[in-house]
Amino acid sequence: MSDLLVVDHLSRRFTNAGLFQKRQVFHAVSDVSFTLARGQIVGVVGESGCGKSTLARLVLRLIQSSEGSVQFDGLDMATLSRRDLRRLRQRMQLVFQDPYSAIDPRYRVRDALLEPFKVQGIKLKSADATVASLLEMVGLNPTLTNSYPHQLSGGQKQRIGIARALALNPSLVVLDEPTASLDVSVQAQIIALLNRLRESLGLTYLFISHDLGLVRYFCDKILVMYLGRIVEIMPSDALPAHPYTRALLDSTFEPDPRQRRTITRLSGEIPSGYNPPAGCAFAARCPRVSDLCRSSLPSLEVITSHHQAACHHPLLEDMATGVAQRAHPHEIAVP
Amino acid sequence: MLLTVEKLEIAFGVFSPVDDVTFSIDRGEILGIVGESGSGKSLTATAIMGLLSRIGGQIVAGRICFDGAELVALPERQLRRYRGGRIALITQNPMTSLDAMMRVGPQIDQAARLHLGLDRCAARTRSLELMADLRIPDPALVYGLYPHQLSGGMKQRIVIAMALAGDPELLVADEPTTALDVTVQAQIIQILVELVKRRGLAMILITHDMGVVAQTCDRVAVMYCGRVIEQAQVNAIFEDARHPYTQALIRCIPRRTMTRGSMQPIPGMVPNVADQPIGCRYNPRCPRVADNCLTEIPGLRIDTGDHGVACHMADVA
Repeated sequence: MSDLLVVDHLSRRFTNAGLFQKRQVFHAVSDVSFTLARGQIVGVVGESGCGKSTLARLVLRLIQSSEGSVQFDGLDMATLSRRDLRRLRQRMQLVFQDPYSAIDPRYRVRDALLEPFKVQGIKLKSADATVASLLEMVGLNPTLTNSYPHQLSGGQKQRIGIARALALNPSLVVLDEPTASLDVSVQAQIIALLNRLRESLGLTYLFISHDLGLVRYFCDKILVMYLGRIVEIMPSDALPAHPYTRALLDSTFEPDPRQRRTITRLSGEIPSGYNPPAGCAFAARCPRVSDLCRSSLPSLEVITSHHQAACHHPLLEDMATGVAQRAHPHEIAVP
Repeated sequence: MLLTVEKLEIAFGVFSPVDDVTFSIDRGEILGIVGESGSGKSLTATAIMGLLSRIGGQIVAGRICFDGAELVALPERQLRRYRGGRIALITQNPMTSLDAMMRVGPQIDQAARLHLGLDRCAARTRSLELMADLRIPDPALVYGLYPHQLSGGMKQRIVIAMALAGDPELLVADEPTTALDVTVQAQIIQILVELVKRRGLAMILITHDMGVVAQTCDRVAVMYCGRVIEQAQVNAIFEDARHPYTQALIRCIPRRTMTRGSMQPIPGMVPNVADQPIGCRYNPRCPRVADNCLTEIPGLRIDTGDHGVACHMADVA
């Protein structure tokens, strides 16, 4: 399987320079590298402000990177002309978090779905047939063609958002928290739809979410971000090696009242991206912190063949004794 | 029972978005009310707080009985003695429920001054104690800060401190962690559970997150389209759900043990309040509809084990 997307040492800094303010540099994404194989679903998790949405926009080159490169299907996106970039964008699409604001309220469903063709200058033989088939693809009744967004429910609007993203037959779809504003039953419908579409259309997903439980269910590989950096890259069924991923997992409420536990409380707060610490960004909140962590930034080290973690003191003993510690026997990490 | 809600019906004009809601809660207990958007769970909370008239709704039937007193017919002046005092609300969004123009400390003081009759100085001392109790670091410093200087988790702790300031017996927490990150959510939920157990409070926890329910609640009421369709002990809800909607809702939650594609969504969507189906409101989505489901709304029948279900087909194997 060849890689559809290769992200190499990607960084993005924002400079905040108000008229009377001191110039400040915000490190939104720092030194991020990963690959996305064709047909794979890669999840990006992290808390608000960790840079996951900035990463999504960098990958699609909706914003420029400060350093590093993004290769899409072997093409370095930074070297492309505006025109070539626009052509290439047919093959990469974005589904937004908030379906309420992602669609122009004055556009009918039909206009929203035909907009991608207009932008790309593609003439359609039959616009009506295209709209009808797109609606059918996402499980919506074709009678909605002339509806306005305010006449649709949140779940229906998100389906329109997905249909619009798929209109030009892309290879890569970046999903930025596509279910964060939806109810659980609607979330389940949307996730099932995304899974079906991936299988039938051979799509590759970059799935951004704050919900580690959902990412573990839906994705093949997980990138965990903290303060703009990837702290762990792991198969979704593996045990975490980074203490932050462990803490995220422990903070997830298992929907099973028989498995109640006292949550290991993380003290402290995420440091500011304006002034990232010299050592590990998680050091101030980490239960395994040492002097080394405060002075030296850990880089991603290989744990097993598909598993990397950026930690001076990874949770290797957990992984060794993983079988005994697991609540469910079938959660054993696949090497 | 500290609070009993019986056959509550709320109307906005000709619509009744909440209809026939019955539940009760005792001291030291956490009752979860779960349901999707539009199921009427927040309106029920608003009704308990006596704030319905402020948003244009009214209680047209039923009772809300708090510690022997009937709240529904109570005039506003007497209701004020309960609201913020013996019954306190924790709101969903700490970003909008704090006054942006006022330092957070004095916002906590207000309830203690109003309901406990403390002077400025005593109220301040009490607020600082509450803040320390909620593990806010350096309470004296935070007391003098404005909301925009605090993180989301800190703001939500201030909102909780405000709710506790009037020394309430019943906390109504309406989605208290929905706007927060998971690690912060875990901290806040744990603080709330400890508070309830340590102080012997009662808490109604309104949420759409079945994970939060599983980890915190003693009993659960499930709402659908403005009605309580099932209520039981938390273990019974997760292991012995009898209403087809509760069963389907539990199957929608992604779990660690599931493989991709095994999640089973509920077909269809929640009906609009203006266009409720005749008979059981779940009948357009239900896999086991019988004839009387299409004509007659099932009432909540409670068995000897305190397990209530509103379904004609619940006993049919």
